[in-house]
Amino acid sequence: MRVFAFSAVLLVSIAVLGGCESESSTSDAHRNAERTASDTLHITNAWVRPAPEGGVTALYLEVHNRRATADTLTRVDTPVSSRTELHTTVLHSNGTTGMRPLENGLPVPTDTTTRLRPGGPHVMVYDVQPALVIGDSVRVTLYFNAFERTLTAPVRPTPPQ
Amino acid sequence: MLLACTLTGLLALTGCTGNEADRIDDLSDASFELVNQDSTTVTFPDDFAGQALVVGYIYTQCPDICPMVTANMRQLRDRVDAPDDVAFITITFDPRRDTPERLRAYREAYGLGDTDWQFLTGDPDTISQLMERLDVRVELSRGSYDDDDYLIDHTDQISLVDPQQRVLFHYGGSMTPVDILAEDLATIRPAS
Repeated sequence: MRVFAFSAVLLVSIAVLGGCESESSTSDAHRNAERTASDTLHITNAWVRPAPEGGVTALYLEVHNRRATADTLTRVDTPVSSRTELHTTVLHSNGTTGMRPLENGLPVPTDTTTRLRPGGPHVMVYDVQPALVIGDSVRVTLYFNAFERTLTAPVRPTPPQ
Repeated sequence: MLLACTLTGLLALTGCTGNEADRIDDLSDASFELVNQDSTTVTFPDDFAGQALVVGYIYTQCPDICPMVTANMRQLRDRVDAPDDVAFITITFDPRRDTPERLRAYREAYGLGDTDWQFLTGDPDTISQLMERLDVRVELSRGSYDDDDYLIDHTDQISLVDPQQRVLFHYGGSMTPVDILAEDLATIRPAS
């Protein structure tokens, strides 16, 4: 199994959030006061689609923000590409579908699981070098305002069950 | 009897049965000269006469919806055990960038290199006419055709065409359950 180091970059600030799913959401000051140092932000279920050399792929994952403050995914870097963008998929009233850049990044509210998923928000990775084949793994680094996380994402054609 | 059409919220479906009056279109009078991933000329749909066709539409610079279309077709192919009387065909609507070489690499990346599943492209005018005929809308959403860096809004679609080259079904390509595709396909296969 090959392992590529990934890293990412995504611009952020606010705004257009396509497809965040909130498990729960609160700004309850009292609850925040009870938080402990174990509150954290972690990533699960990361995966990328296969891609030919020079092609594009998408990175999907889940961000669990258990911290007292909201954050924003601002950037993703990877050594398999010099260009990544945070996108979401949109469906138009005329029946067409397409991608739109999330210019302000992807908000990650507190006490929320934000899902980058097929048909929703995702990281678009351009000009992949070398090809990503099913069974490979790719390292990715996610940059948030307050954190960064590096992880390994398997290359697979469909989401993990 | 043909199964229900799935209208995935994306498509206005005009025909749900194989009855003559309910077909979406009849391609028996059509002939589009295309080229496959090996740079071999393919005349669509003539070269597939007598087969049921499962046709998907993609562009290889699409990392999200189009791979879901391909994955759905692949699951359908696995479900029906890749019979000889059914042809699985993917047609790009981005012929400027999707050369035969690029389609071949894409096909191999998705593990389809050892199959008879054909990926087709052609000159832009021919592809444009074919997409219009098959009810696939294609619109630039960012950039321009003058450079190599653009995004496309497009219909998310899989079509079923019977051995008489009648277009009987359009489905939402990325999300229609394989069970529905398989049941409808069974009704139009030559052996059925």
